[in-house]
Amino acid sequence: MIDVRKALFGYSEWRWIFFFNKESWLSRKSKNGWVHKKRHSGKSGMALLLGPLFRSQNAPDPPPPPPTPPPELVWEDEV
Amino acid sequence: MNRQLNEINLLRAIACIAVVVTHSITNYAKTYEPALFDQDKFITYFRFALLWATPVFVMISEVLISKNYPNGVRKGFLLKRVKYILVPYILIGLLKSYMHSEGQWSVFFQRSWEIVVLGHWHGFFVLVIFQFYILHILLGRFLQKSHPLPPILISFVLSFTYLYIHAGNKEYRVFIEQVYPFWDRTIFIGWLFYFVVAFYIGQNYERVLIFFTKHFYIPLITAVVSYVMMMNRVMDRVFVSVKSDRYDMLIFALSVFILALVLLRMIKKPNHTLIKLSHFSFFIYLTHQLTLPYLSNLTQTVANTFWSHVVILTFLGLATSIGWAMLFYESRLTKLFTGRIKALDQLAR
Repeated sequence: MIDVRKALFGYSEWRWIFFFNKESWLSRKSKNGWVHKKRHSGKSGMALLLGPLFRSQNAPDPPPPPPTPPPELVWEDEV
Repeated sequence: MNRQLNEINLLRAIACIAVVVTHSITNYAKTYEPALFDQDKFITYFRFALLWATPVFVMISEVLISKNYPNGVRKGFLLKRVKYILVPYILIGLLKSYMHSEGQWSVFFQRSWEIVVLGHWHGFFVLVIFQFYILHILLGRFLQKSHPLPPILISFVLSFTYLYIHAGNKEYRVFIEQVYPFWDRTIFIGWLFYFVVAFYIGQNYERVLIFFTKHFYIPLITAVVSYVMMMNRVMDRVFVSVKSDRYDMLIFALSVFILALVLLRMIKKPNHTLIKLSHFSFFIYLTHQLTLPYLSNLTQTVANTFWSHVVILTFLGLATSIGWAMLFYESRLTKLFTGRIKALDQLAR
């Protein structure tokens, strides 16, 4: 009998459309043995696209941007 | 004195004082560099609370034209305004150019081009008013026939969108600089909302004032709400330009304008000092910025607090411009600098 879930998601290259990264519920289920090979980078395509929103817990935090001084009032009447 | 115009004269004088006060605050801030976002933030709140002055001055101009010429302007309308408004603008502009020319002719010509022709100075509002005259001649009939609501809404969307994009998008500012040769603050789209609203207020002056006298809470609420919204953007440092042509100023300035007319109408006895000041207001607007920086240096020697500095500097700024106007009005040649000053005409009679 065909495992529909496996057929749809398990080995499909399109899996990244539905799941953002390896921390998804699908990966957790993989421990039960019905899913697949690991992606080479450990990060799906969508994770790369939406990286800042759905960053993998394993990925190191990007370095903080250098502090910029807050803007001061711009006196536009002095011309 | 026309009773109907009393409140407009008073408001013009108050707007004129407000402009001198705002520029006095600028001079104070430049000298003492107070902490405008921390312990001295009351200065920022006070400064922005007065920014309605230039839009109100511009709206008064259109209200009067629309009220006095409900069926189209008279012959010679523009010529008269060229003589009394544009000529003083050019001459005072040349004077400012000379003050910033470092004694060199080439710099003087360069400055004159930037200031007088392109409007890159505080007298830019004259170019806005002149565009209003032309808009009034071109659109007056159409606006008169139309229901007020669609033009008011469309002009609000146009002005707001222009000012909003202009404030936040650098590429757009560069684009405007490329396609519009004059100073970008003079472009009429940013002021269109004031023009259309002032046109309809002028056409229906009595009805509008009676309505808002009955429902004065409407401009009161919109003034407070729009001021709070504007100050949120300023104190969060989202939009920090200290200027009157801000997108969040449109409703605030209009609300203050209507509220002030309603309140000033309640004053039964005309205040002659303010009415006289109103007659000098155009010349004060044009000239006070020429002397304020020097007077600010003088004020430093006698004032040691924010309020004393601003009060003394405002007084000196107003007095210097009025004194200057009175002297210039004595000769036919120098009278060209001042334009027509009704109070001095009455004095001569």
